[in-house]
Amino acid sequence: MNTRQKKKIIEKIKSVSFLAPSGLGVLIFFVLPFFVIVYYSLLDNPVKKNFVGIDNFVNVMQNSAFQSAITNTFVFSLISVPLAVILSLLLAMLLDCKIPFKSQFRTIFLSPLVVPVASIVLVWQVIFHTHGALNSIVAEMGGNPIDWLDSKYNQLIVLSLFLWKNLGYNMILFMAGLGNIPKDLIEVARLENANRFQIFCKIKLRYLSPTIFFVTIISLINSFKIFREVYLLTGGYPYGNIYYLQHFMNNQFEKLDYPKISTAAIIMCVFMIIIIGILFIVENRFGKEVEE
Amino acid sequence: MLKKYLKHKFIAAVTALCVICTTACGGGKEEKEAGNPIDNTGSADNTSGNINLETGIYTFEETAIHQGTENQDIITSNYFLKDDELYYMYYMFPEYPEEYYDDLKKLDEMEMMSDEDSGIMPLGKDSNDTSVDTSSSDTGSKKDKPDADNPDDVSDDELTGDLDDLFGDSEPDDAEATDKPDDSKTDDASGSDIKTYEDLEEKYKDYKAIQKLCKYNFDTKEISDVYDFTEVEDVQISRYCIDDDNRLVMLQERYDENMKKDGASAFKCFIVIKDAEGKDISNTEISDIIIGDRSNSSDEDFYISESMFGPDGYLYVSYVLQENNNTAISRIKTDGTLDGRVTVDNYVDSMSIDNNGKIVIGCYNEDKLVYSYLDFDKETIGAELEGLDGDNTFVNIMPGHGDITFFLRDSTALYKYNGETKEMTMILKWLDSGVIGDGVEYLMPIGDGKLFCTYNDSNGNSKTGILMKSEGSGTEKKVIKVSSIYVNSSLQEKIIAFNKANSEYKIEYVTYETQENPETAFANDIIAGNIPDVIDVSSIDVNNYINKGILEDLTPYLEKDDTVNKDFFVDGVLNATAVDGKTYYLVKEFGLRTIAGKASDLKDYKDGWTIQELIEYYNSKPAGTELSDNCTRSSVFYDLVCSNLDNYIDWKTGEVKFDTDEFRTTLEFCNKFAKEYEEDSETQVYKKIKEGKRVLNSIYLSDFTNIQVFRQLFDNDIKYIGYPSNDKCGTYLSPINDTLAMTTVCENKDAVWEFIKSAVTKKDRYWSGIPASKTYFEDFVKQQTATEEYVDENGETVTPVDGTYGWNDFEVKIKPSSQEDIQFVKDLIKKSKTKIYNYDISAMIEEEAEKYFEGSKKLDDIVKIIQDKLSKYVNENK
Repeated sequence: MNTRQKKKIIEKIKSVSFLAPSGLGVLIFFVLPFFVIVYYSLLDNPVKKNFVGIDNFVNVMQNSAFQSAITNTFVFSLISVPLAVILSLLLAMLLDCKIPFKSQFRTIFLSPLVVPVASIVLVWQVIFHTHGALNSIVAEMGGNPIDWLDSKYNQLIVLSLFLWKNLGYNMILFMAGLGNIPKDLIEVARLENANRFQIFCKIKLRYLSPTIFFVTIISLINSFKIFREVYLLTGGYPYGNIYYLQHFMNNQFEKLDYPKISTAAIIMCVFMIIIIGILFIVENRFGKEVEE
Repeated sequence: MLKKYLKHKFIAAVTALCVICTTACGGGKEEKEAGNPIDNTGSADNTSGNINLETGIYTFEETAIHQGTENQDIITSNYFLKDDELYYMYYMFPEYPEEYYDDLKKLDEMEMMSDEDSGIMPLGKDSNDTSVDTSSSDTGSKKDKPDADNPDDVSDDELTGDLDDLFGDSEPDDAEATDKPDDSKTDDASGSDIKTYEDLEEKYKDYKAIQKLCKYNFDTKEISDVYDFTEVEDVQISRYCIDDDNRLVMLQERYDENMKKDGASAFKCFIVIKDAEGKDISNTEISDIIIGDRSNSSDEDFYISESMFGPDGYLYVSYVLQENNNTAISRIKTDGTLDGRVTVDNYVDSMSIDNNGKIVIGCYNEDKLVYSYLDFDKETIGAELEGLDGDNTFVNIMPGHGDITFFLRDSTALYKYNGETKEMTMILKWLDSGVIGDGVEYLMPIGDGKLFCTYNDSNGNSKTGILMKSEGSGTEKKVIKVSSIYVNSSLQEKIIAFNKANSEYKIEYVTYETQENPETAFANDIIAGNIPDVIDVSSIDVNNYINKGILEDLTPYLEKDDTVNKDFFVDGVLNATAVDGKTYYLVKEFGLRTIAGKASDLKDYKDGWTIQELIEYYNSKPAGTELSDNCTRSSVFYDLVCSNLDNYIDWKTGEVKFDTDEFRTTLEFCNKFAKEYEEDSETQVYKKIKEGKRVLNSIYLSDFTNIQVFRQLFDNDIKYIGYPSNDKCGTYLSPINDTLAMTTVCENKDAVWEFIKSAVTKKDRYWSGIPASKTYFEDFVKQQTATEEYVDENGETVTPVDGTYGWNDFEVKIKPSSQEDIQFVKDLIKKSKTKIYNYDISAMIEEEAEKYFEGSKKLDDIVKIIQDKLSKYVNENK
């Protein structure tokens, strides 16, 4: 073995050893638990541990509560994610212009990020409770008070909570993305009599595609995490269509039904892989030119 | 038998009041300080040096000091050690002659006859004043109404009449001479002289309970008397010690109504010192010294929670203010002067003395139990002691000795604390030693690695003995793990008995009582794979565990076993407790819950009724009629809906039927009742039922005599209609005490089955409910139907049931049960089932229903919400 090869091997060993702690952490806290979940999804219960193959998957897919939960989750994601992306992009573009009190507005939009979840929930309860602020206004206007969280409007409330919480962060990401667009390209476009819409669609959007992709994924993940606020607001069994996949899984944990949780988690993981795979393909297609 | 049980319950309560004497006044230094009546503490092996209590397996050997037996009404308490001798207080109750009980019975009858409006049924009369055949004997004993929520408890609040009536039938004691008067002085018991209970007391005033201070020598095993307190009346000796001059120094508590003036309390405390011959040296009242100005307080405002004599010659007394549970500990000299007081802004859980004579307390600080020394000079609490498990809410401190700063105990183990190294070390596990840990009252090292210990068993009997380290059997026993959510003394006794008898297996007992959320902690252990071999299912959602395949089907074991099989149980018990035709747990004793009303009023309902039928029935009554006892909208809702979930949920198909007119009608019906029940003290229960102002009453049957009570309550016109349900089966079998199940993962299934069998077949001295075993059931029947005294197979004398029973204004004479009553209960058992109660569903429904009851939501909205939420729940779990 010559010196060069030896050097290469030593380099590899060095890099592996530096990567090892992180790799070990990922292995222990992500990879291994994943395989444990796969293992549990193939058993009948955590006590008897009899192998049942894909019976759990069939049962869970046929379970009407699971079907309802997954439908509600994806409908919510389908509505909230585009809204989160579009509204935050609009806000970023607005704050990118020369407007007064720009930094104050930025602070206002970013502040929900630092508020603890319990406080957010408390505020929402104060506003939307049967005896809350909103009902006081409704009563003043001559209407009847509504228990908003136990009504057909509860989806709107959850949506507003999600957007209020996440717009600021997405907006910051888009502002950073907008800042990275080469100014000379826009100047050239203007010189060639391109209007604002054309500049936005042909130049800005293309350059923002990686950011849009990233924001979409982040928003998608956050749309699943809305379970936390919903659970604190309404408990384990909320009324209507705000019963999400995590409700299903959380409730099974209390019933000691590990195989069901594991199965539901794997099904969700598969769906997420498909969705993110599609997003990757789309981003790859539109963002190729930008990268080149 | 029952009277003796009640007596022992009372004795246990008295014993609990006489708080364990510390060892402070035990031994003595070889040289005492001049003028100091009480020397420093010492155990039998004195203050210094290693007292050799290492971690290990200890065995408990009962000692023979004046222990009560089945027929002797003796209690011993208030122990302390001095110079290898154990001092203790000894109580024996008076031995009245037969004529006393005749006089007492006549007095009881006179009192019942004199109150026409009370609804009290005189002996031999029914409501129409018609004579009824009775054949009771007259011993004048009483019985409590069983508490439906805690059938084990005998509610002292329900006792009526003079407390002496409880013990008036005590058997003559052979072992000890009692303080009997000369018979020639006794009046002829014609009854003509006895008009009131005071007359009775006066006539038999010479019959006294014996109270003595005795001592027991561990080496010679001799018992001798030290002081006789028999002539001292109305005095409770809370604490005492004997100094090196053999003077007896006592803290006495006296209650005298005559002492009350200007609203001040009649409860007084004294320090009394007697010399070696028993003559009084001093008698100093310290009531005001203990808690300061009490001119605005009454007896209900505070209580003394702990007291002890310290080696420094002081008396330490802690008292608790009822309003806020704040505690103050006073240090008092034996001459009655106050020498410091420390106030604690929390409840003091325990107080004791360490090996250096310093006072240490355990009290709560933000839900955490912390231990600190008290500084009486600065009147402050010292810093928190390190190295102690503050999360354990059941730790009691016990006095220190030698090199052990102090002991701590919880329900599972005994620990020692070393103040220098700040380490807490476990010495022994109670169950391994054959002791019920949460019944331990007194503990004292007596040298050579031994501990003197007293504890109360599950029947309240006091056991005294010595714990000593055992060599071990040599072979390691296989472990069987038994778990219960909450500590169960009765189960612990069975575990001790099994461990003693079994050379191959040993049971370890685990509870979750000290966890913040015991049920969740237990569930987490199950998920983590830490599954016990046996579970006490009385506090868990047993159906959930059955559905998860955690509990073993015991049906094959019942079919194979020669002793505990289907024929072992009373007819109907296994059916009532079966789930899908299988038996998952065994019941040892049980109660029956149902509802009764007037037979003449319920003749249209043959064998039970549905919820709608009950609603129609009640709606036909005049406005203002009470439905049942303690009736509120939430209790009615619970009985109609939460206890009848099968009416609304089909678990197999996942169909949920709350969005129905039936449920709407039920909710509207429940909303008719008040939020809280207001007892109408003007009108008596018996009269209410007689006049139709109350139509039903809840029934809890834990023995056969209960039937007589309810029959009288309804004026012999009673029908056990049952709780309403769609299947019209409204009688519920409610298991009591140990309800054991085997888990599917247990490795030693045969051994576990043997343990479960032993738990079910062990005969307890007193039954809390109806025995599930046929043999014991028949014994129970024999006891409750006996019309003459007899001796049972254990040599115990069984006296016929006789007494009065009732609550508030209602009282009825109890006599031996008839065969018709026995058969009735047997038939009721066969019709019974176990209540299916799902905590999660009930909580959800009750929460939503409450919004409707409070008017914040409309009926239709609530029904829609409940239907939606429960559909999700049921579909998740179907």
